[in-house]
Amino acid sequence: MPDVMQSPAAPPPRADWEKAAGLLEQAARVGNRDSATSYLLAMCYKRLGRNADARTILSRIPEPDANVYLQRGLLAYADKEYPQAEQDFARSWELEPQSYAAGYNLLLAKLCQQKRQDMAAVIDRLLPLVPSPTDQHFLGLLRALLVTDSVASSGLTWDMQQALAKMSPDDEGRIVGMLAGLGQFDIVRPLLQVLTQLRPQSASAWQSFFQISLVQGRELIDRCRWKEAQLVLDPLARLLAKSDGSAGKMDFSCRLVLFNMLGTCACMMQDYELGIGYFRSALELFQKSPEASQRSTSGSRGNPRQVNARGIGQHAWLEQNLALAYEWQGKWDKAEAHWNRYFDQLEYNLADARPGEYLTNLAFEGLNRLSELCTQKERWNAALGFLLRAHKFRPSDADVLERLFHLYEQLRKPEEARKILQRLREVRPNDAQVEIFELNTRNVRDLDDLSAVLNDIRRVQQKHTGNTQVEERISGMIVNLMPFMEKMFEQWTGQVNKVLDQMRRLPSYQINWTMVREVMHDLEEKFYQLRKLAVKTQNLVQGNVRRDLQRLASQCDRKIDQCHSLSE
Amino acid sequence: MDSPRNPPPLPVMVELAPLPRNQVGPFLILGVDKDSDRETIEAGWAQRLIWARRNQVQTPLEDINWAREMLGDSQRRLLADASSLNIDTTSGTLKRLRQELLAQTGCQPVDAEKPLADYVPAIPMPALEELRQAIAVPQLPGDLPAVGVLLAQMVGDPLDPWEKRDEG
Repeated sequence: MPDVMQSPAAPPPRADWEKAAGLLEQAARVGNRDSATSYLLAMCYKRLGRNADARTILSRIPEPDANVYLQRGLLAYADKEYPQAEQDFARSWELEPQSYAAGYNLLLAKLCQQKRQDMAAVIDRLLPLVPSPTDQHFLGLLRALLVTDSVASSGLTWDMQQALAKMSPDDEGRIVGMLAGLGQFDIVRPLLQVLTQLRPQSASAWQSFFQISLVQGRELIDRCRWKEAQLVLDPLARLLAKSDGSAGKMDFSCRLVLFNMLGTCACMMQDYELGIGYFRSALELFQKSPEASQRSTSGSRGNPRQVNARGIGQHAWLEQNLALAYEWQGKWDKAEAHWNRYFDQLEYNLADARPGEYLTNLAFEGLNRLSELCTQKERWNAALGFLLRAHKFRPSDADVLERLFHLYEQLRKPEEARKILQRLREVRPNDAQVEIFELNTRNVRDLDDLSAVLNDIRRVQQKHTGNTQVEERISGMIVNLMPFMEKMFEQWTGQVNKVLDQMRRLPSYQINWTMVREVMHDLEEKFYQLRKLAVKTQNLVQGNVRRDLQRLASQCDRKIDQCHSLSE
Repeated sequence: MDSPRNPPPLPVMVELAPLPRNQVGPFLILGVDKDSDRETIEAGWAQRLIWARRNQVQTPLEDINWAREMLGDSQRRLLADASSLNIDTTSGTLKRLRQELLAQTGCQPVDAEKPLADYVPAIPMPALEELRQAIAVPQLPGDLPAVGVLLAQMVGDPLDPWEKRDEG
């Protein structure tokens, strides 16, 4: 049997803030107006994260003491209401001048509002209250840093400058940690900049300054404040360009991010040339990096540093940035080269895609977009190139096949157009439009060809009666056939006129009447066929085209009569 | 020679129109990464709505809503992905830096609460003895009612002298 005395001691009861708050609320409800009860209830609310309730309770305490003001200040500080926090901390310190907490918090509240000149006085008052000599030394260093805007400022004495320049790495780390932890990057960045000027060899100061500048830049970009972001980031690029001291040793990925951000800001401000310069720097940096060289030698895939959660590689993103900048600048030749490299990279990483079809879909949509853009700009070959790549990703996509067919027609490549049409017919077996496309590819050289095409057109129309799209297409096709019919008419009319001209000029005995009759008979037959086709075609169309066909038929009638009179 | 009365005309500064929203892209408008999930996109959208209503951003509300719609549709999102700039690296350097910096706790204010562990409410509490004395104890009767009944029953039973044995 275990000895009772040896059993472990029971753990101390855990604070139940919910229950405590409930009991204190009950006390308040039954009439307890004690300020200590209200204070305890506010502390419960603070621990439960109910800052607004805590602040309300504290504000109702009659004749608040220094600690109540301190707590009110802390809650306002947590809600980022720095002017209110400053006011409360100042009141607390006034009521209890020996309170280190009130003084230190007042310092922070002022720092968050960038009241740097007031802070020196606060630190001077605070220094005798600091609990340890280490903290006292630290506050002295902080004061030296805060009183000046730059090294050239007259506010910094030689002693202060020396103290900052020669401070230990621990002190520097503490200052950097404190400033970084403030979360107010716009306020902290200038302070760290001063620190980097005073300690140019300090990697830690440089790194913090660089990182905080990047994050502040990102926050400005998030609000689409491109110019301000550029002003924050531009000094970093200039420092990197000098490449002396610690700035040149910055992390590769941070430098890559910097160039990307600067390039983005420049492009958003429509300075594409500058943007391209930054994106090019990023690409060159990447190509010199160990990651790129490792990949080029080993051909390894799936390196976690090279692809993101969805499987896209760094190289692809850099190529995409450059391609977009060139595209917006209107330099299509260069844009095309970078776009092709981007899609090469996507294809290279297809196996890493998460979800599995993500990169395929991304490449398809991207290629489709570019093909449409190139078509609009009448860059037919480029459009065809992008569309053929898209077709590789989705060989059965009917829209892509249809656009490919039109592009081949545009580029006068009938063989390729026919092959694509064949594929399209497999994908859309009963599509009227596909049948019309097929008719479009016919080569009409004589009346027989024309007759065959018109017969097929009529067949398609009867098959798809009531389909307005088909009717529109048919109308368009007949409009395209009209010049051919008119050309035939002109050609034969020319022959008739030539014969008539010779008949007028030559004496009767020199005319080969047999030949004339044969020619005229032949031409009469041709005009008759043309008239027949024109009349048949009238039923397929409406409006101006119909009127043109009627005119052609009546002209044919006249020519038939003329030829007939000469053929007898 | 230029006359002082006719100074040379000042160069005209032409302000460029803002880029169309398609070119900025929904990812930059909402400040989200290309691999962001639905929740992050919704949070980015909500934040920008607040900023727009407080005039803290110049992006019109219409564009903010458009960006959310774009990213809500998988096909349109892919199209936007293929035609938007990339700020961060694929390893998420900027995202990581931001998270690390925001997680730093090197600059917390000093919290000093009142020591109220021994706090006693300022309510008059009576002493225990006084409370006891204040309680009126009722008078108990000296006789027990059952005793009389038991005695009468015992006396009423006939006695059998032979039943009594000498136990000694």
